[in-house]
Amino acid sequence: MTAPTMRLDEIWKSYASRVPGLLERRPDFRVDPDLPSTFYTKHIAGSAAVEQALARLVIDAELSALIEADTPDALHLACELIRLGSPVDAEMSDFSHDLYLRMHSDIARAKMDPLLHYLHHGAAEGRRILADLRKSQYPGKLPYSPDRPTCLICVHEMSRTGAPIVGRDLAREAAQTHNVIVSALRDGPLLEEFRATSCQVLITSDPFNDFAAYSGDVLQKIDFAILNSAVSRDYIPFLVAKDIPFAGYIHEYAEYLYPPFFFNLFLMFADLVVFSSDHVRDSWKGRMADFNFDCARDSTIIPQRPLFLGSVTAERKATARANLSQMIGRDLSTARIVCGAGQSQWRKGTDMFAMAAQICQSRAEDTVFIWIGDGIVADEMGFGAYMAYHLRQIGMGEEGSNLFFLPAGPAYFDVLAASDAMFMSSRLDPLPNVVFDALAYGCHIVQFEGASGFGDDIYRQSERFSTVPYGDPEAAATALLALAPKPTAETSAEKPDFNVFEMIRSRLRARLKAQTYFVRGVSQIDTPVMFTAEPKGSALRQLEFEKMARYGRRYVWRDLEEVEQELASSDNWIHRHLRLAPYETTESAALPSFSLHIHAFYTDDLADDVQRYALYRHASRIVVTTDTAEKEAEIKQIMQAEGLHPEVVRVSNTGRDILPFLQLFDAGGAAGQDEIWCHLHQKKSFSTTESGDVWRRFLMRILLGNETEFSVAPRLMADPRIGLVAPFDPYFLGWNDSRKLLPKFAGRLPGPLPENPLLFPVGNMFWVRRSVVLAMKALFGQDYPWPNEPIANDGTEFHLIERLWPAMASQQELDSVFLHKLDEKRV
Amino acid sequence: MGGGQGTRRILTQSRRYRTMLIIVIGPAATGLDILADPLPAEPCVAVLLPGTATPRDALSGLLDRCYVLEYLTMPACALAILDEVCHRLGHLFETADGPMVFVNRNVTRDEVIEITRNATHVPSNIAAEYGSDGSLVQLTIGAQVMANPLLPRFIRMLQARGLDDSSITLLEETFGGVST
Repeated sequence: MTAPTMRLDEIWKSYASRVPGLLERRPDFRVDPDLPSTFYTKHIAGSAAVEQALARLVIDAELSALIEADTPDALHLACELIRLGSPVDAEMSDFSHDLYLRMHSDIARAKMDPLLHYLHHGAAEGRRILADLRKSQYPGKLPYSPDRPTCLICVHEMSRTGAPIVGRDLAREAAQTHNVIVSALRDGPLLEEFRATSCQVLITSDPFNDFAAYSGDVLQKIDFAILNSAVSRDYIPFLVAKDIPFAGYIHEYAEYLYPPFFFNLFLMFADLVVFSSDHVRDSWKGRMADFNFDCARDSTIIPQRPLFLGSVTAERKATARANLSQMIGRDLSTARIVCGAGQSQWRKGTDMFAMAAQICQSRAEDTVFIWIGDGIVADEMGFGAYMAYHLRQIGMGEEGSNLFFLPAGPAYFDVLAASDAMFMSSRLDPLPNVVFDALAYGCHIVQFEGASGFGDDIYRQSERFSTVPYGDPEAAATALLALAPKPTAETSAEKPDFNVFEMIRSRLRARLKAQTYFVRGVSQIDTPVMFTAEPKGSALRQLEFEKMARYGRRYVWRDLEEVEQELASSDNWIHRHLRLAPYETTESAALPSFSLHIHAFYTDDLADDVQRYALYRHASRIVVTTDTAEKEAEIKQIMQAEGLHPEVVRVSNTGRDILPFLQLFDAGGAAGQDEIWCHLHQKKSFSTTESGDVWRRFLMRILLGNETEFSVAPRLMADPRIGLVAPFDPYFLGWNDSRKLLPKFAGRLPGPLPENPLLFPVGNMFWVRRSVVLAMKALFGQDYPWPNEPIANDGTEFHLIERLWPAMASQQELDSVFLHKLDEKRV
Repeated sequence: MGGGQGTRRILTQSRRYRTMLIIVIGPAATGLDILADPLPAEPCVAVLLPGTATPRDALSGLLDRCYVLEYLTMPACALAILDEVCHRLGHLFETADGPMVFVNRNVTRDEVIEITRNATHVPSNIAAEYGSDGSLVQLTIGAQVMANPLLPRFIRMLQARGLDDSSITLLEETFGGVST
């Protein structure tokens, strides 16, 4: 036996000894006692590409050298070692079986062998493996100290922009007292600065799966985390799964965080939500109500910087003006200078900044507007093309112009030092750092009412702020022209101490200590929020349930008792008429006369439905709405094949499923005088995903029954005191974006709308009485200007209608009954 | 979180200790009515087992006086409850300046008062009582042992190793005291 061959055997012994009993059963890696040939011999040997892919995986230095030297059996050994799985695979190679399956759920679902898949297909497809993860783990410049607590600071990216810079400052402050791990979803130019203030930097777009594969002492126990910015939401599943307390530091308005669900995870799971201003927090209050989030208890305000009113010396101001004069080719020594700063875009109101300059042009010739920042890209159609045209039309930068644009860069501080005022023309801007900078340089700030966190009292009370009506550049121009020149001072005030990290840390700790209620175990309703509904996810579902229950937050009802208690404790006129009932079946003899409405814009599932639900065959009438003659013919063919004879009404594609239903009740409409209706629809949005299919089956099962059973729903509708019967949905859904429409309709209702609807026919399929439909039509009136497609995913009149059905029943003094069937899969 | 590992706190005899009470409430343990009025213990942790009917307003009232740990499914053993208390309410141990009493059986209000009073007598004691099925029904940890910052970590370590209530003897062996 040659020396290299003997080394292979020693390497095998070294790793195989980690697996109890393995060496006794398998002393030689070249022979697998359980198989006729080894994995390598059967699947790898002989294919050059596969062997190369295998060789690239090996990180054991000695084994790599032996492979490099073409030592016989070296690749064979590498393969058999990797096949041993955790922990050996990750120790001697860049491949982890467990991680590969976590990263690629399709491989896991298909129950394929991870190594075999990777070597034969995954490598060529560029699938991520442990090697990619390791490349994204950067050692920090600070040592890990076991005596210190460890803090994880998460940012969405490492660009040199607002939120990541706040994250960098947080990490700097944290490093004074804590071991710091920084993680970002994407890297960027701040990477080295983050490394300088941390023990580890981890770049991952999939923290939930990737964190388990990272190694290092500092990762052994993370005491708490700060998620900086709402777009760091992807860390929440990981933190909940690991039971790590965390604070979310939110700088963004709810108005532009879509789709809402992912951002709302902060309201469900953060131990503390820190907002940078009251104004930003106010924008979240509707969402907070939707989740029973206790705003006073579980949120706080910490701006990213202190209010510091600085000044500049006369010399600095004069120098800055001289520098700028050279740059733009106009003497600014005695001009009134108004600056704006930031990335040019609609949100920043760069267009209104230009309009204010136009207004001032004729009123005060010596007033000059300077915007510093990038973003006007003439071939970018969202904003740049139109803004560039606007600026050309008004002669920006030309001789005699009072408006100049400078690129972002070193001139920034000269602009601030030279300017008398900053016009913050933003439409919606949380707490822009440029305003703090301008204040530090002695500038006065003119802003729009309700456009920024700088509308909070703490700032408004300062003489440095002037606030004018929202979106009114004329008012802004007037305010700017009324300002005195910026005073100079030879000494500036001292900057206050301000440690944002310490403020967040101490308030998070205080919040955790103040918690007096804890829940352990699983509830009657086991429905997931973030994690899988599959049995393997039960432990994770329990964790997410326990955390929400601890804080009294709600996205899934805890149990039926909670629903009953919530209804019983409400004195709202709508809630008084809501009640639960168990799903039951009924005999055909007990069925009242009823009509069925199906809106079939999509016809995909119609044939299945007709066969699957026996109740179709007991309807007095089946009225189908659809939008084309082709679909009408198809619908008739499908139904006639089952012996059914639908009346098909052609409608325009407006109002999703619900407007076609309401229009049946127009004078002379197809609804006639029929009293009891079941409204169903075949919406594509339901069946575009697997969970959509499950949800639709859930609704149909409760509303209709199955092939042989009849749901009790129509029998309940025979009771004249009941106006609506719908499935009880385990999810606790609020007004969501429909909340914005409530003021428009509140005055047309007999009582106040509740803070939360509690129960409504989620999915908009239900049994309803004619008078309830007529009440809904009356609420909107005959000539209501319904919005055309395409419409938003939430917040339209049609989404509001879904939530108002119980109100319409209550208005008629009728009850709404929600049938629960907890053994029916909802997701 | 930011709290130091701490060192053993020195308790002086002149100090009047506050007894931490962890009381298990459930169909087979003490009834909820025992907490109708405040008990002479601070802090008080009420552990509600499944089957404890707790209307919302009753829970709200309870939270004014107690920490509440509500189990919707039965905990594996009493040690699991102690582990959860150490995990969620570790700060109570950091600031504890008296003994701790854990009661996991049906007791009267007078008995609880007696048990908490007796707990202050032997600061260095650990006393455990077991039921006929081997479950821990009562545990008293003296004030000096409670001041040891390793105590909650030790309890957590026992639970992490999947041990049952009989492992409380390791607590006694490690931190001293006399078992009954």
